[in-house]
Amino acid sequence: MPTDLRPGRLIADRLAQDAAGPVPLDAISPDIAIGDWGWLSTDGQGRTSISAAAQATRTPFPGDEWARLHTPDRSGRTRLEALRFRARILRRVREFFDSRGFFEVETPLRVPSPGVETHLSALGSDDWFLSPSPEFQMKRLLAGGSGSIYQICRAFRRDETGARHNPEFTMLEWYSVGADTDRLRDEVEALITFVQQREDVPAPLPEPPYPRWTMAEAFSRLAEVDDLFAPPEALLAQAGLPTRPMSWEEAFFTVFVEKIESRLCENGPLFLTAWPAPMASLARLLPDDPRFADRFEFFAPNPAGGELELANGFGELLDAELQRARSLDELAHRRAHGAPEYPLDEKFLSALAEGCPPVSGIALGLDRLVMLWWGAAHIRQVLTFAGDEL
Amino acid sequence: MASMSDLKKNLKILIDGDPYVVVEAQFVKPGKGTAFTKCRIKNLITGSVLERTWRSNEAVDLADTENRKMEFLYQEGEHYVFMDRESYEQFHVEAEVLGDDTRWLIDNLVTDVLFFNGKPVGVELPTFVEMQIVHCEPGVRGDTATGASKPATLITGATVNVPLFVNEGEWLKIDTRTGEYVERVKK
Repeated sequence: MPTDLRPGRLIADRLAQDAAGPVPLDAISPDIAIGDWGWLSTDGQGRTSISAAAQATRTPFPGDEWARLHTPDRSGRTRLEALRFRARILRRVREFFDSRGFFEVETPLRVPSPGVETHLSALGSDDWFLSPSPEFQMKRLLAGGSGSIYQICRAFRRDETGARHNPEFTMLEWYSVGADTDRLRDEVEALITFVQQREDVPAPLPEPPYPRWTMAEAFSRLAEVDDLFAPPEALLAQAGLPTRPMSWEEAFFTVFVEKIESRLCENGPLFLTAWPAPMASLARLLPDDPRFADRFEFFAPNPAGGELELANGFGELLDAELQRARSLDELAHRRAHGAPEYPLDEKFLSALAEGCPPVSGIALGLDRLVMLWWGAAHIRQVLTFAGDEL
Repeated sequence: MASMSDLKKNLKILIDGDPYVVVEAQFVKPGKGTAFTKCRIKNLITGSVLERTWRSNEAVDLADTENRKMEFLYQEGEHYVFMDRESYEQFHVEAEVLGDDTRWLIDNLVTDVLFFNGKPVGVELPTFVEMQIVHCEPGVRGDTATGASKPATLITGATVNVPLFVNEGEWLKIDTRTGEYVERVKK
């Protein structure tokens, strides 16, 4: 049995460059010609041989696959190093949740309903969908009395491609039974500390705690908008942006993208809490101010430039009737905008109706966290294969 | 018209009547909300760069632009005449489009001409051109290292600073981006 396999280039002076140093070609095999390459292996008694497959291929050295993993990027590091780093992070993340009494679940990736969020575009799979989020199935487990759970899975979203997006990405989603969103934010900080203390992270985040701003504070500080709920023209005008006809929601996100997002992380990572009720998604409304939802996002500066939206958390809405009404509103919105209509997940709604313990849940983009820790400018640098490499 | 999902690097688009090229495009979709594409775009005529953000449901007009390899033929008053190397079609380019670049236009120089709505609006010269000196002070032998220079007038009337050892009648390689002497060339 070979004990050590590595690629070797056979060089012109009739020597192979093995891990242990140069080896004469005829000591390996009489069939090998100068310029060949192959996978050198050592048999345990110090004898080196070259794999038969490589001898037969006669492909150039290094091959495309080898080059893809071994060619250093601008920072001098290879894709292979990034993938090994990613594997270490994944192990630490699991260790963190296992040590805190969560257990790991795996819910199906192919589902009958992808959810009805207004801006969601799902990938189909026969007449079902590739799951854009495992939340419905995980909440059914919670309703069944699973207790606190976490999952590391793939999520799929059509038309999302870019330096920070890949249509297929890895989601870390966890639900903390009995926790409010403040405790969930503490948990995000604890996760970061846990990994950074145990792994050699090239671009660590500053030590927590991180500031927690409400959305209203962010709009007031960074865009000088005092009334989040002003009509769209007024919202744009307050932020000093040209007024174009658009809905309130579009105006809100236009201000967010043009004025706020790029400056959010000027002083490091940050939680953005208390989102306006129309963006509640699956979050409950805040009991003391129902104009806002118990929803937050976690942003961190990307050492490679810009900022990264890393996680989205909810104090979960547990009222089945409210959830149904909200979903029907979103479906109506989709219909009005010509977006494909997706079915409601009735089993999720009846699970809520059966009763679900008070719970807060969060989805964190694991590729982005690895990107940030690795100091990668593009998500592809931390993926085995980006969409265009398949 | 193009939709936002087509907004990618190198796409030529039309804004307020001017052609732009997308230099950088980044997809963002914060808070499960509206999708945006943040772009850095460059005005193809003036070269100025600006940032623009488009919402997913906004349409973008495409600019009708085309790059053609054309050869400079001759000057005719305020116009410079170029010929398409494939179709042999001739076009008159206004002096204004060329600006300072007219000083590097030697006969038969092959350039990239940018057409916008069928009209030539930009001419990109090769990075280096070779031109003959029609006048300069006589060369000084042996002085190759001091960095001292003298003006030399080229065949198009342009002047460049050249090292002292360079002589009248010699050919020079010029960097058209900076207008500087690069080296002597043998002809």
